[in-house]
This record gives sequence, structure tokens and C-alpha cells, in this order.
Amino acid sequence: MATRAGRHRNQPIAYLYIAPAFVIVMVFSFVSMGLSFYVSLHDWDPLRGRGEYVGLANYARAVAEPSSVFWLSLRNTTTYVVMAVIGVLCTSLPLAMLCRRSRYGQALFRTLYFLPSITPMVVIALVWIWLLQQWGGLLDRPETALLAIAIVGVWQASGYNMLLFLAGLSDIPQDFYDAARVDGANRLQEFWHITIPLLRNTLVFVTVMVIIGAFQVFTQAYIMTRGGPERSTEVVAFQVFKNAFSYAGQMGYASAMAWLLFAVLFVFIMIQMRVFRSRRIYDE
Amino acid sequence: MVDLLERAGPTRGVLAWVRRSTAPPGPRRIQLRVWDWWSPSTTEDYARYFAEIESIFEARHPDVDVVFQAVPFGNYEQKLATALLGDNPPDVFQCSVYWAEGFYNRGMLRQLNDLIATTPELQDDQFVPAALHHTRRGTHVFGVPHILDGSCLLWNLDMLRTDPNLHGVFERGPDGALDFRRIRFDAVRDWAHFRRIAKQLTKYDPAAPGQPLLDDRGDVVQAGYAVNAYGMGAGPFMPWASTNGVRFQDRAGTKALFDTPAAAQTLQFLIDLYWKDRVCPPFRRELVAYDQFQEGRVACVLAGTWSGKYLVRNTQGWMGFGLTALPPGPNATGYKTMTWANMMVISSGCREVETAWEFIRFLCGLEGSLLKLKRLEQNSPRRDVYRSEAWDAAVKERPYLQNVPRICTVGDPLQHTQIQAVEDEVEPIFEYVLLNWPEIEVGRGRFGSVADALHLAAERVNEVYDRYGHLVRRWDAQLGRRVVQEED
Repeated sequence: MATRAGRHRNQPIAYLYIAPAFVIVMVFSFVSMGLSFYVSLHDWDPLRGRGEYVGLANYARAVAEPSSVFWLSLRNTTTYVVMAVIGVLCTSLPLAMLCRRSRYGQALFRTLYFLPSITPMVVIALVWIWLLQQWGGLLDRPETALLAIAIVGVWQASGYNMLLFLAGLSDIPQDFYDAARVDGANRLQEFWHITIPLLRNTLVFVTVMVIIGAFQVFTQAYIMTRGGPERSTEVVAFQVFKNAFSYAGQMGYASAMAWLLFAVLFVFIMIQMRVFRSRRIYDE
Repeated sequence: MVDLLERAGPTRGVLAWVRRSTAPPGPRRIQLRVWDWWSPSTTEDYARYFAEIESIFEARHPDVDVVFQAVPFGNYEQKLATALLGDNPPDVFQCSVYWAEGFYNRGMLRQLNDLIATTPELQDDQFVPAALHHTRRGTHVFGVPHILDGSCLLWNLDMLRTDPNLHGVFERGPDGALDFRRIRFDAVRDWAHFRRIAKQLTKYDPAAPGQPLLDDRGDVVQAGYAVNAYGMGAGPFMPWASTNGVRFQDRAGTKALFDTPAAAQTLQFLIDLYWKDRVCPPFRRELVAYDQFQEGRVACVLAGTWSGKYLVRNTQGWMGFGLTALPPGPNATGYKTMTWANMMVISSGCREVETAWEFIRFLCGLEGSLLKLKRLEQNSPRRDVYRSEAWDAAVKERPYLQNVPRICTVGDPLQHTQIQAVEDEVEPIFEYVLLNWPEIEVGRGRFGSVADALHLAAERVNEVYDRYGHLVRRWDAQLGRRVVQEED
């Protein structure tokens, strides 16, 4: 009882503590999101700060107009997401395991692999334009351009996700491995039956974060290809940007596309959270 | 020392602050905010130009403090919209033809008819006609021409000189001798002649007839002409199309006009230069034609009349190049290109209209234009500049300038309506056609012919124009504006 009373007594001060962050999040995230939804229902003129109400016309234009590139850009974005998720998982987890095993220079490797994550994507994109040209002009062909920008995205993201995996790996008690070895398990069996199940939460977190980040891919397409060649790297975020800031009076349409992207992303993440629901492993 | 401190942004600000703080108190100073994508930090020449503009203007208007703000070209639209919304717009700014009409339609620019009417030196007859096209909508004038530019062919005269069969392209001096520093305006008679010259200037591989000779790195040794395929939209196409009687859009920006047999003939001409005559370096995204020209690998490229000064700077003084307009195609007569004039405008939120207009009067008048010529080697939209001794001296010193006035004069107006949206529609189509012509030729391409591709491009552009037209009508109604558009 006394504990409950204490909790109640502390509540106002607790709200005070979170108030600054709460206000910032409300203003810069939720209020902005609400505004963008409002804008998406209008033929919005950003210069005048008002527009004509058009209902769902902007959404209908994006999904149903024959010349709309929304579906094409969504397809490209989804393909990019698949490549990014596979690429990041297949590079950052092995890197984390290698790093963990290295007897010497673990800190050095961690730093080296992490460096791309703190390098601005614009710089990375400019450097990779030249690297990819040396590798047979991957950016020049519609069949390979999206793969090329995905490689760049994976290269940048791997180091950061490697650190997350490294943290996850260090949480796995050594006892499990020792026990498995006593039972005669080989390295592959250890990986499948101990590492992967116990890394489940980290895996889900990394996958969700990579999916969210990859759905918002923009910089590579903007800097490296401008959506080309032949619209093969046209992604949703780039379409949103162009319509919002480069074409006159298309802010409402751009906002509608952004919300459609949000809807797709939301569905993806919900499915994933259901399938890989977080739970404790080997506890019982 | 003071000069050095004046050039850098932060120290420049500090110096200005020190001067203001130590100056005796005087009457209220008017702050004139000027936006430009040119900047004092671009080069030393620009630094001197801006410093001189500022010091002359402030000396004549002691109550005015000119504050330049450099705004990147790519962000201009967004920044201006934000500044106007935030009630903090520039008073006066340089405006590209790409945005000018759109800004005016949205009520971001002040109409200038009343101011021009009282200013003899900025009347229409003071300017080259090609410079006036983009400064108005119907009878509403919203800009004063500031610079004049046109697309042109940029030739490597050193390469032309090495082939005696091509010496006919050079001017002759008063003594009748060939002047290898100056190319004739009409050096190329027509497309067929251009094709022959481009072939003559291309070094072909003796081991693989018809293929350009490549070095160890796979780069061409010497190509006659370069076409950019990636990300260029209608850029490499329209100047050539104009020489074949094609226009991109109507004046009001309501209809695409390039869905014609003459336009298809033009695109086919460019395709043939690349795929049949093999006079071009391979299409590669990171290799821009202009850079290849600069490296001495390409004899001729499509560039702009502004290119010369940058070329001289980048090559540390090399001036073995010349500029011409584009030769006539089979469907038209006369030399052509695309011309545009960026302009000085006054924002609708300007608080010091009289001072802003004084600034424009100075900048776009003869004095300001000669200053641009002196400091930036920039030609002018003004007629009187070309009659001045300063221009004669500039041409004497830099012979490549010789054809610039004529090139700008013969140009058709550059397409300007919703340019980014339009380019985004035509770019993938042009890219596809240029990159995949062999597939199209054998009937396996996405388009049956070049004409089909242009038809689709025009359809898409018309959709952009329709959407934009709807917006413009709404803006006009909101602003209570009635614009009578001139006929084409």
C-alpha cells in the first residue's frame, strides 16, 4: 500500500521529466504527421499554406492513374528492401561473429567496420559512383542499377548492425556452448541451435530497423542515379521529394504517396512482429 | 590584408560589423537583401565582382546596406517559398528562367511594368529580343534580363587545325591568312556536313573498322562528338531539334510540340551519330561530354555560351576552342539553338521596392553589364554592350567570344514550363531510346520506333502541362489576375 502511494506521489514529477521529450516528439512527429495527412487530402499550395479539399483524389491518382509511377517506385523500393535485408543480415552477423572470435584487435575491427555508418551517405554515394564504374558500369544498366545502390546501402549499414549483433552475442551465456560441445555439437549446430534462437530478439530488431530504413531509401537514388537509368532506381521517397519540392503544387500528392508508403511499411512490420513475436527462449 | 578579409564569408561579416559599430550614428540604414546562386566564394573573380557591386551601390546610396546571400541553385525554389511563408523574403534576386514564370504565377514576384515604364535604360528595345521571352507572361513583365546564354557547339580548334581538309571552318584575318584562333559562325553548313566533320575528327580503330580507337583503359582516343545519354532529359536533343524546325512547347506552356516527324528525324540523327557513325565515346554515366572535351578526347560537344570562362580556368589558360550555333537540319534553314536569359526580379514580399529597383537598374544597366563582362567575362542581354569598346577588347583578348552574340540572337526560347516535372517524364524515354537503339531497330524494343517514343513523351508532358494549367488558373483566380497570353 505504501509502495502504491509512493508511486502516485511520484507521478507528477515523472510527467514533468518526460514532458520536454514528449512535447518535442508530439510537435515534430505526431503533429507533423497529422498535418501531412491533412495536406494529403488537399490540392495543397505550400506557399499559401492552404489548399482546395480534394478528398482521396491524391491517393486515387497515386494508385490508379495509368501514368502514375507510384507502383513502379514501390516495386523498386520493395526489391531494394529485400536486397538490403538479405545483404545486411548476411554481412553484419558473420562480421559480428568473426569480431567476437578475434583474439587481437577486436576494438580496431569494430571501429573499422563502424566507420561507414558515421560517414555521410552523400560522400559514400559519390565515392561509390566511381568504384561501381570500375566494376563494369553497374549503375549504367537498368538491370543492375538497383542492386548497385543496394550494395552501397548494405556497405554503410553493416557496421552499425554488426555492433547490435555483437551486443546480442555477448548476452548469450557461454554455458550453452560448453554444454553443446560436451554433447558433441559441431560449430554449425551451435550456430543453428544456440546462436540463432538466442539472437532472435536482436534479429527481429535489426530486421525491423533495416526494413524501415530501406523503405526510406533516398540518398543513393538522388545522388547516384537520379532514379535512372530508365526509372530502374525510382524509389518512393525520391518520388515524394520530387513531387513535394520540385514540382509546383504537388505537395498534397507527395503527402498521399508518403502515407501510402507508411501504410505498406506498417503492414510489413505488423506481419513481421506477429511472425517473430518476441519471447524468452530456453527459460522454462 | 583588408582585401583578403573581405573575401571570406565570416571575416567579411566581422569587418562589416566593426565598420558599422565604429561608424558615427547616422540616418536609418535600409537593408537590401539580395539572393543569388552566384556567390563571392565561387572564385576570386566573383568575390571581386560582388565587392565592387556592393561598394559602388552603397557609395551612391549611403543609406543602403546591400546584403548578399548565396542560395544553391538546387534549393532556390524551396528556400524562396520558405522565406516568403516566414515573411523573410529577399528584396531582389537573380531568377532562372526555369522558375521565373512559375514564381510569378504563384504570386511570389512583383509585376514590374510600372517601374520599367519610368526607366528608359531598361526598356525592351535596350535588350536583345531573345532575352525578353522568359521575362513576361502576356503583357505582365516580372523580370529584367540579367545574363544571356545559349546552347552552342564547342569545338576543339587544335584538333580541327591538324586536318587541312577542315581548314575551311576558320576565319581569315585581314591579310587573308587563316586565323586558327577563330572559328566561323557558319563553319558547319548543315547536318550532313557536321556528320562528315565528326567522322573526320574521330580516330577509328584500324583493327576494327568503324569502331572508335580505345586506349588501354577503354577510353576513346579521339571522338568527333559526344552525346550524353544518362539523366539529361531533352537537354542534348532540343538544341538540335530547334535546327530542324521543332519547338518543345507552346509559349503558354499548355502543349508539347515535339511530337512531329521533324523531331523524330532529329532524335534519329543523334542516334545515328552514336550507333552508326560511331563518332561518340561510349555512353557512361560518370563521363560527362564536357569533361571529355576538357580532357582533349572529344573534338566537339554541345555546351553553353557560358562555357568558355570555365574552360579557360579549368585548363589553366588554354584557349584553343571556339563556339558556333548548330547547323540547320533538313527540315529548316538557318542556324539555331536554344537561348535563355536569367533575370533580376523583385519578390512580392519586398519591403524596399524603390531601392530594389535602383539596384536592378544598376545591375542590368550598361554599367553593371560592363562590370559583369570585366569581372566574370559574362556576355550580356543588352545591345549597347556589344557596341562598346570593352566588348571589342574582350573579344580581342578571348577570341572564343566572337560568335557569342550571334549564337544567342538566333536561338529559340528554352523550354521553361514546369521544367523539372517535364524532364522527369521525358528523361527515361530519351534514355531508353539512346541506350537501346539496336533493340528498337530490330523490333525488340519497348517502342516500335523513335516516333512512338516521342509520342509517348509528348503525352506525358501534356499531362504535366494539364495539371499545371489547372493550378495556374486557380492561382490567377485567387490573385484576381487576368493574363492575356500572346499567340505563338
